[in-house]
Amino acid sequence: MDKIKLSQEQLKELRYFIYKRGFREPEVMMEILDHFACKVEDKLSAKPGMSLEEAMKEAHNAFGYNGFYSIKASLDVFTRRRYKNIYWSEVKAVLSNIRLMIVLTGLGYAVYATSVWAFVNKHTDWLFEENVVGICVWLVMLIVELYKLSQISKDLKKSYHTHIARMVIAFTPYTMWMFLPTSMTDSPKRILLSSLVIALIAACFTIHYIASIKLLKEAKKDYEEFKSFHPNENPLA
Amino acid sequence: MEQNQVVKGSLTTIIMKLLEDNGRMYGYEMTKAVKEITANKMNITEAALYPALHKLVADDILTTTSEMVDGRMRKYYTLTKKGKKETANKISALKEALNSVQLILNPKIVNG
Repeated sequence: MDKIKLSQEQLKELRYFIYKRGFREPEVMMEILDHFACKVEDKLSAKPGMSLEEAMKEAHNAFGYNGFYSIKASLDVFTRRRYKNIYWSEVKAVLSNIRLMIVLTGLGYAVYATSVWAFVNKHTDWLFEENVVGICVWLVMLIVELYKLSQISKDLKKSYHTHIARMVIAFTPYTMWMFLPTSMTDSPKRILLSSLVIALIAACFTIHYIASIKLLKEAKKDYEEFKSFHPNENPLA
Repeated sequence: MEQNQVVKGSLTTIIMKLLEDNGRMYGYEMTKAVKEITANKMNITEAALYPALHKLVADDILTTTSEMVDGRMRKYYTLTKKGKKETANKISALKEALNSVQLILNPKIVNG
């Protein structure tokens, strides 16, 4: 029995079949396509009179009740898990780097000392009338986040890998912003605690920034590897 | 059908063993290999295979390389260094488990 190989035109029909079922990201489509095509080729080889449409239907049914969804769902879940592992191993690498830790401790101490000074001398910003150092930390975090986003090109923003990577790192700065204590107070205990928290958040944000840059680079590498096989943006091309 | 339930629990070990024997394989090739080795008695479904493969990649047990084959991108899976070490442990754990099941299914008669 001769093994039938699908032509480029037939592969295009397979891509359209997958696309019609809602799997439109090129990366997800490519994950499904080879397995689906192998199945269709086997069906056509076993029954040479069978039409391509029939073979696609039978091959799709063989994927079970959820069809292609199980492949897409597991790709999403485990790409996220892989990226989380990359993020946290970079955090660990920063924490075990003595030079970086000395710099971070220095930064933390500088933020802590200036924050105490701002609380004691009632230095507030002109808009919200809160601790000026806390507001500065808040602003620096915002500018750094916006800068990071501006560095991601349009192509990369649309990429599946960058999308998942951004989901992994998106919520950390928001959580930090939420807990940044900037309200003015006279209580010495609250001044101490608030300054410590501001310093800790500044240090944690720096670590987060280093780890997110590493993760975005890895996602870019995945995207470029994929692009080298599939240079066309159109999943149906 | 019942066999497939047994396969589910040991799917990662089966995948790792296949890759240990064959070096590198792609998803469809694995399903076919299992069918051929077991003379059609075992069938790995896509719904079980891909989550297992993606999990093994996320856990750094497998690594992937892509190639253009017959006009489409094909992803090949290979064991990592960590994966090679884990395979031996997983196989011996599965063998021990199967031996224990054997003891339950075929108990030795002991004169008391």
